[in-house]
Amino acid sequence: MNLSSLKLEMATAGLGMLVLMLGAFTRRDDKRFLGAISAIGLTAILAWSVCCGAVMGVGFDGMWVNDAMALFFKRLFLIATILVTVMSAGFAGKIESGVGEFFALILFACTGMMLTASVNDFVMLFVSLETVTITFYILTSYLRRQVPSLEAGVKYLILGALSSAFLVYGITFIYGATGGTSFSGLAEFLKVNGAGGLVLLGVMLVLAGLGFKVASVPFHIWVPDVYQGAPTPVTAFLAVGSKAAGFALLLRLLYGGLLPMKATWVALIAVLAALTILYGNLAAIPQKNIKRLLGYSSISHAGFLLLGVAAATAFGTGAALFYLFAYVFTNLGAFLVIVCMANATADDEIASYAGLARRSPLLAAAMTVALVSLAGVPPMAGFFAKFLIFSAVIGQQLWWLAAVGAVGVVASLYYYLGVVKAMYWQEPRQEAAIAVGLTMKVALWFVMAATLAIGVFQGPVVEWAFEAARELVK
Amino acid sequence: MSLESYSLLNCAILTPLVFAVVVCCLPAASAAAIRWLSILGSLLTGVLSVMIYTRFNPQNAGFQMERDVPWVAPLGLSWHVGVDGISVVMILLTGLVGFAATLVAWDVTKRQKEFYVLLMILISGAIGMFASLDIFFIYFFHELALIPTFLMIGIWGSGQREYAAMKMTLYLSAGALVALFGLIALYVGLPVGERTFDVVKLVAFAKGQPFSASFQHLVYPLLLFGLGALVSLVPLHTWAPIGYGSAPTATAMLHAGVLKKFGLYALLRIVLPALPSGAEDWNWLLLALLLGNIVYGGLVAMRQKNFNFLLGYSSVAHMGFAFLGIATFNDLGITGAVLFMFAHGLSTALAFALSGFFFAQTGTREIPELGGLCKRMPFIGTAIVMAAFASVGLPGFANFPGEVMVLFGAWQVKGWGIKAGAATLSWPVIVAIWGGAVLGAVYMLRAVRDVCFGVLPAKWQKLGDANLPAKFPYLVLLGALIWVGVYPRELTETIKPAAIAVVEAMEKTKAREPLPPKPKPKPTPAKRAAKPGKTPARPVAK
Repeated sequence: MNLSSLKLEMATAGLGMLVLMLGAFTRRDDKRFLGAISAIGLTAILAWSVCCGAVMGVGFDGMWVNDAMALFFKRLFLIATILVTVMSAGFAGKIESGVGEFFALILFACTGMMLTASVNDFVMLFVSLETVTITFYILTSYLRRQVPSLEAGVKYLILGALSSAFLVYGITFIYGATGGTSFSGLAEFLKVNGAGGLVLLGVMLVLAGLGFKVASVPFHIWVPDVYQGAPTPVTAFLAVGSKAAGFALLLRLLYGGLLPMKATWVALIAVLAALTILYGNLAAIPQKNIKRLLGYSSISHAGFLLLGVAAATAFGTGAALFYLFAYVFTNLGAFLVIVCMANATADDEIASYAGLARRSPLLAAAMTVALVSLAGVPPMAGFFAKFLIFSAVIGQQLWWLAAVGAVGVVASLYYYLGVVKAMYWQEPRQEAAIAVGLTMKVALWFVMAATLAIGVFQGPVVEWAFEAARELVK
Repeated sequence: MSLESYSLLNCAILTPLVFAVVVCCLPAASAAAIRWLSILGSLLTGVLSVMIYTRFNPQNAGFQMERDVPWVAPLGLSWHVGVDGISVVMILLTGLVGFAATLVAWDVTKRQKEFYVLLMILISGAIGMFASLDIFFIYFFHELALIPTFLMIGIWGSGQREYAAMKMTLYLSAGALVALFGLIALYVGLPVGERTFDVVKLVAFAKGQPFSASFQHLVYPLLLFGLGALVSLVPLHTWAPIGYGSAPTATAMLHAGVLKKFGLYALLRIVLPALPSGAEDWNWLLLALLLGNIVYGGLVAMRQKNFNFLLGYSSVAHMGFAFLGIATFNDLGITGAVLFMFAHGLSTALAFALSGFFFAQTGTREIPELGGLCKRMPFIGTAIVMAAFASVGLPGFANFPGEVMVLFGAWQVKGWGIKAGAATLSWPVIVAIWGGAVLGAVYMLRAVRDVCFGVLPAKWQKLGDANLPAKFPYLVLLGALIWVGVYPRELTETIKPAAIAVVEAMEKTKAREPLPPKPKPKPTPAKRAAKPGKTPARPVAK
C-alpha cells in the first residue's frame, strides 16, 4: 500500500490548489472560467477512476480501505461536485468577491468527502469529516453581506462544532476502552467484552455526531435555517455531498467496528429512521420557501436512507446506495432550477414559482421531474430507489417501518405536488419569460435525462451498488 | 406467427410514447398539427390493439405474443410482455377508449401541446400495465398515469379542480403504495434463489410450493385494500366522483373507462392465482364491501345533481358487480367480470364523452339546469339515452351479458345460498339485483329524463348537435357496445380459457395446511409478522 491508493484524492486536492492559484491571476469578470476548469478537471478525474481503477485493499496500518464501496462513493462525490461546480458557475454573479476561493473550497470539500469513503479508523474519520465540515463553515456564510447567509454560517458553525465535540468526545471513550482507534480493534473488543459501559457511551456519541451530518432526527435542528440561508449551490452540496459522506461513514462504522453489536444498532437505526421520516415529511408540509422545503425534504430522505441501513442486509445497503445515487441527480436537478429562478426573481418563495410553466417550460419541466422523482413516482429514479428500499424493509419483516414509510411517501407527495401545482396552474405574478443560459440548459437536460434513465434502465446502477454493498456486508 | 407479431405488444406500448416525444418537440403554436399527430398516434395504437386481438388465438391456452428480456437480472426483474384472454380484451378496450378520448379532446382549447403529451403517456401506461407480465412493470405502467392525471385535472379541469386533483392523487398513490407492499411481500415470500417479479414464474412456483396459510392471510388484505382503493371499493371510493366530476373529458374517459380497471385486473392476474387461501379467508369482507358499492353507491347516485358526479357514483356501484364476479372464484363469474369490465369501460367512457359534449356548450353539468337537450341535439341526446340503457344493463348492450354472467356465477357459489322451500336462493345475487338493476334504473333513467327530455330552457335554444366527424368517437364506442351486446360469444370465448386458468391456478396454490388457530389475546397481523419466530415463512419443499 502506498500513496498511489490516494491518487484520486490527491488529484482533486491538486485541482483545488490549481484553481486557487489561477483565481489570483484571473480577471474579475472571467471568474466563471474557473468553474469550467474545475468541472473539466473533475470529469477527467472521474474518467481516470473509471478507466484506470484504483489500488484496492487495506493500507496505512488499516486506517484506509479502498474497496468497491469506497470507489462507488468516490465516483458519486465526483459526479455531485461536477454538477455543483456547474451550478456555482451559474450562481457566480451573486458572489461579491472570492469566486476563485469559492470553487477551490468546493474542490477541497470534495476531497474530504472522498476521504470519508475509505475511512477505517476513528482518527481518519474525524480528520476526513472535519475537512468537509470546516470548508462548509466558510461556504455557508460566503454571501457575507447578506444576513441570512451569515446567520446560516453561524448556526452551522455552532451546531457543527457541537457535533464535532460529540464525535471527538466519543472517540476518546472508545480509545480509553479499547486502547486504539481502529475500527477492527473496536470490533475485536466488542466481540470479546460485549457492548456496555464506557465503550457503549463512546459509540453512542460517535453515532450522534454522524447523525448531525446525515441530518437525522433528533440531530436535524440546524437543517432548515442553514439550507435556507446558505448560497444555493452550497445548500445543494450540503444536501447531497455532505449527507452522502455521512452515510459513507455510517456504513463503514456500522459494518466495520460495530458489526458485533448489530442487533442493537439495527433497533436504534430503525427508530431513528421512523422518526426522521415522520418529522421531515410532516414539517415540510407548511413550508413557503423552496430551499427550506427541500431542507425538510432532505431530512425525510435521510430517513428513507436509514430505512435501507436498518434493513441491515446486503440488499438493504445496496438499496441505500442506489437511493443515494438517484438522490444526487434528482436533488441537484431541483437546485439547478432554484439557481436559475433566483437569478430571475431574486427570492426563493414558492409563490414566485407560480405560473413558471408559462414563463419557462424547461425550468418547470426540470423541477417537476426532480420533485416527482423525490416523491418516488415512476418512471423516475426516485421511484426505483424507494421500491428497493421498501423491498429491503419488507424482506426483513419490518412491517411497521414500511407503514411509517408509506405515511411519509403520501405526505411528501402532497407538498411536492403543491410546488408542481403552483408552477402549472397558478397565475404568474409577472409574465416575463425567464432566460436560462446555455450551460445551465445543458446541465438541466443532463440531470433530467439521468433521472429518467436511472429510473427506467436501472440495471447498471443496481449491479454497481449491489456489488459495493455485497463487499461491505459479507 | 412471425416475429413481427411477437413485438406487437411492444409496438402498442411504445407507439403513444413515441408520439408523445414527437408532439413534445413541436412548437406549441401549431395546435392543428399537434392534434392531428396525436389522433394519428391513438389511431395507430387502436389499430395495433385490434391487431393484437385478432391475432390472439383463443384456442391456445397460456400467454401469447410473449417476449421476455432480462431487465435487472440480479433482482429477477424482466421486461416480460404477453397476453392471455383477459389482458387481450383489456388492451382492446384501451385501444378503443384511447382513440375515442383523443378524438373528443377537441374541447381542450388551452395549452394543447401539454395536454396531448400527457394523454399519450396515459394511453401508453394503460396498454403497458395490461401487456406486462412482470409485477414491477405492471405497477410501473399503472403509476405512470398518476402525475399526468394530476396535471390534467388541475390544469384543464372544472369545478373544484385543485381539491379534486390532490385528493385523487393522494388516494390513488396511497392505495397503490399499500398494494405495492403486498406485491413486494409476494416477492420476498419466495426463497432467496427463486425470487422473481415474473408473474408467470411466481404462480408456477406457487403451484409447486404454495404460500403458507398465515402468509396468505396476512398479505391478501394489503392487496385487497390497496387495489380496492384504486377501483373505488367502498369505503375508499370518495375520490372517484369528485375526480371524475372535475376531470377534463378525455381524462375522465380514460381513467374511469380503463385505468380504474387496474385493481380488478391485478386481482385476477396476480392476487387470486398466488393467494387463493387468503382470498377465501377474507371473502366475507370483500362481499360486504362490494355489496356496499352496489347499494350505497346506487343510493348516493340517486341524490346527485351533477351529471358527472352521478356517473362517478354509478361507476362506484358498477365496480361492485365486477368485484362480485371476481369474488365467485368460478370461471363463469370471472368471465362475466372481465366482460363487464370491458362493457363498463366502453359505456362509462361514452357517458363521460357525451357529458363533455354538452358541457362544452352549456358550461354546466347540473341536471336541474339542463333539460330538453334532445330537441337541439338529437344525436347526442339519443346517444345519452343509449349509454344510459347500456349502463342500466338492458339487453342488446355489452353490459347485459356481463352482469348476467356475474349473477349466474354468483348463484353457483355454495356458501351464499339460503334455503327457501325447495329452491336455494343466493342472497348476494338478490341484493345485487335490487341494488344494481333497480337503483341503477331509477337514477339513470331519471337523469336521462331530466337532461334529454322535458322543457328546453330558453337560454339554450342555440345549442348545436354534433356534426359528422364529431359523431365518430361516439359511434365507435356505441358500435363496440352493441356488437358485444348482440354477440357476446366473441369475447367470452376469448376470456373463458384464461378465467379457467385462474380458477385452476387457485386450486393448486391453496395453502397445504390450515390456518393456525388464533392465539388469545388476539394479536394484530402486523405483530404476528414482526416476531421472528412466527414469520410467515414458506414451508420447505419436501
